[in-house]
Amino acid sequence: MLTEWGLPSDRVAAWEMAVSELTTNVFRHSYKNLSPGVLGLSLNWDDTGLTISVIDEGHPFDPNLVPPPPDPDPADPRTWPEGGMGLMMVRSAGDDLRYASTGKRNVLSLFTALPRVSPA
Amino acid sequence: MHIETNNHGDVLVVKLFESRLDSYVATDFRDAMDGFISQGSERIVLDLSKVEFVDSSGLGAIVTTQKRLGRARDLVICGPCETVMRLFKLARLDKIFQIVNTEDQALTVLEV
Repeated sequence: MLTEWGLPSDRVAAWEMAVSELTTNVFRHSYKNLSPGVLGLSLNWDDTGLTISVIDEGHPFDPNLVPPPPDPDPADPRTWPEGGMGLMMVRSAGDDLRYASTGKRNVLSLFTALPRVSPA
Repeated sequence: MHIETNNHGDVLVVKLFESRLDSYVATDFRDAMDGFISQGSERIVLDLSKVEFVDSSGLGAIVTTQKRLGRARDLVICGPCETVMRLFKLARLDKIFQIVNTEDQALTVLEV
């Protein structure tokens, strides 16, 4: 759909990666020890920019509370990151990662300031 | 998962024939690399030229391989496309991997 909207292909590849990371996180963590539940994806492109939202009803998870992985030191294998890179990759695909938890619903949104220009 | 290997001296060249190294493939990939190391490979060239998409699970599996080898610079990566290279740089993994364009360059780095 992003391609159909005429968005640039390099940005679409980055957003695809972000969606893959966010949905994988939901699969792995959101419903741990819970019954299977909702995984929603919403795309909204307006005159402020593009918002990609991943929605679930599992455990609350605010990615903005997660510290970034340490800077890897070639001399110290303990600093070589085997995980924790996903959120960093997601953030790189947009301008702002926003989290909201309302009731039982968690919405994680990646916003990119790429305004939609209406035809004249 | 489709992987092909060949030996150049004591260096094992591993070529991944998958377009995606993501969470669906990462476990199999990690196990395969583990197997090569268990069988005695201590220096590895990983050819990613056929890979178009890597996610954090894929990156993590490559880092695990590097950790199993034990020393930085015993794993040389060759042929990553621009998208994949950007992720290596973003995660600052270019600090712990040597990354080159071709298999020949990788073998030169390892002085084969």
